[in-house]
Amino acid sequence: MAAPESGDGNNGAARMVTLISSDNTRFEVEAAAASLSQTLQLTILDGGGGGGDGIPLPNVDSATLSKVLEYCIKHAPAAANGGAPNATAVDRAELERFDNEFVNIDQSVLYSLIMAAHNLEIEGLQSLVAKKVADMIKGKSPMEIRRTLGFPDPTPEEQAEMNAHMLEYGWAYE
Amino acid sequence: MADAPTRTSIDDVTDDLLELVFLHVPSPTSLIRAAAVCKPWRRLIADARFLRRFHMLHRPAVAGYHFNKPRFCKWEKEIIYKPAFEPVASSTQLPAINARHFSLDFLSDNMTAEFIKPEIMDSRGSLLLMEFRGSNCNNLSHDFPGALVVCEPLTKRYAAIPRPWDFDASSCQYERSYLLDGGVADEAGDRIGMSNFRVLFELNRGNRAHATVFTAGGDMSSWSEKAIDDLLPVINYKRHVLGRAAGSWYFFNREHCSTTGVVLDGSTGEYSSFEMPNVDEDWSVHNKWNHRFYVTDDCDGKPCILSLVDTNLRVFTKRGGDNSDEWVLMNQVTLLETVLAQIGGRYEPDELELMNSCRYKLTLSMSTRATGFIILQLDPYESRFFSVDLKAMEVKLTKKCPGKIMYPSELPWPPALHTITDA
Repeated sequence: MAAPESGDGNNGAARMVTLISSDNTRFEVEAAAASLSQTLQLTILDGGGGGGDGIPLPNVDSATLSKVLEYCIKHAPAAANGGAPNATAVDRAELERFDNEFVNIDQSVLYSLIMAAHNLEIEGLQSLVAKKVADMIKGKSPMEIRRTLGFPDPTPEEQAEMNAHMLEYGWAYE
Repeated sequence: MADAPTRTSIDDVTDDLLELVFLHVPSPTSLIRAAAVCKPWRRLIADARFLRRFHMLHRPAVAGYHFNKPRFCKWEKEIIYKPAFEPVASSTQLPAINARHFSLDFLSDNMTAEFIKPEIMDSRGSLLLMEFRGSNCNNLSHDFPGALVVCEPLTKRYAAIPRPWDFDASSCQYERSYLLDGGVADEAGDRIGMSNFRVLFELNRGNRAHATVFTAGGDMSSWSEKAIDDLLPVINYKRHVLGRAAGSWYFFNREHCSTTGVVLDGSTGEYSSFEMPNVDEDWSVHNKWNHRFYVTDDCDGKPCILSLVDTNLRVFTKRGGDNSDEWVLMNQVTLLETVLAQIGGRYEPDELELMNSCRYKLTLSMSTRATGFIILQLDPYESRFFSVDLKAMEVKLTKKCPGKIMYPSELPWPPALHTITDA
């Protein structure tokens, strides 16, 4: 667990903050983990989020927030080491394994996550999800991409545009 | 806990974040496919600012190599070239693209039909510079070519390059032409494309070497000129083209007993001098007619100088990166044994000794310079070809003889998506 912060410790325990989701669920989490969010870090440095107050997050629902916090808690120790220059290969491999598994989730959760990561300015999480979605696009035909990402069936007009594009860029389709 | 929230879909993801997703797409081909998915995606991907960012994150991908495939024509007793293309093997970054998409057949129209001898002169980005000559100008290589064309094979676009406005065949000799980056970056941050390139002509007027530069710009094309006869070594017909590396051309003039060469920077169009590697031997070997220096890209795309004397190959690279001017010996290998082993040791040892000691000494000559490897030809007894990997110095028997230089061809960038955004 993270070391207690001087002058702020409650009997040696790490400082905790409370986050409130859009559907009014309260999450209590270590300040160090919540501070992975650039947005929250500022509020927390100002002394917010402690005691009974809590920081309201009107754009993030509880399902998404719990997922975001799962990421933050896992990544907080490495982030506290300043990008972990002295992290062992084992630690890094473990984080990588966690990340790979973490984004192996339903698409709608992925989209909620990337938007929450954007709102809360958690760069690592934002890139992680962006890369996952990019991997879902990689190497597929436009029609496969549409199906994979849950687009509705193309209108005849859209289909015609797609065909014209494939004709023009035939070399990119083999 | 609240009820299950409404499902978030890809439609809810903001443009900023979609852009971030597209920046993580690993290859231009996947990006082009994504652009076909729907109009909003196409608009995001075709945006010049986005294309510039993508380009900065992803190194331009080499899709394959164009080359002038030589064929000895018995009747005309000369070597005829036919442009050919070899795609690079499929990788995670870039799936292999079928060679037929790089065919140059689209150039066989009225403009070039009367000229039967096409030859690739240079490549840059996704563009090729080609000369076309007629059948009756065998010995007139100092004439301006019948047609000079810059083309982009993948998109089948081309532009004919006019003859310099003051080119006068009676007082002017044409040496060679080179493809340069455009003068300024275009809106997608690129320096080379069908609407943004320059062609440099080396001409001799009287006894003075000139560089005349054509700058493409649609109706705004322009010419500029500068004297290059104060360069040392002098640019003249005795100059030897060592090769091409990292988009620049290297020359050496065997007329001078000096160790200085000249390099033409393909990005800026400027010439400068450079010191040849410090070879520990009599320079007269290299100054004779059978000069044995060559330049090509190593497997990392960095320039390297090769010295080939008989069957001894040496590879020099720059030690301190691009800022260092000193060429350092990286690899050295005697190829005779390896080469003979490869052709099945059909000679008895005493036979070999005789061959090697008499005037028909076994030698290797440079056949092809390519990125990371070369192809050598065994003379004079065997017309066999051997490829040499410049990193591992591994020697393999090969049937291929893909011309003197393999010209890298990148995927077009930006991918001209504007043609479909408003479709």
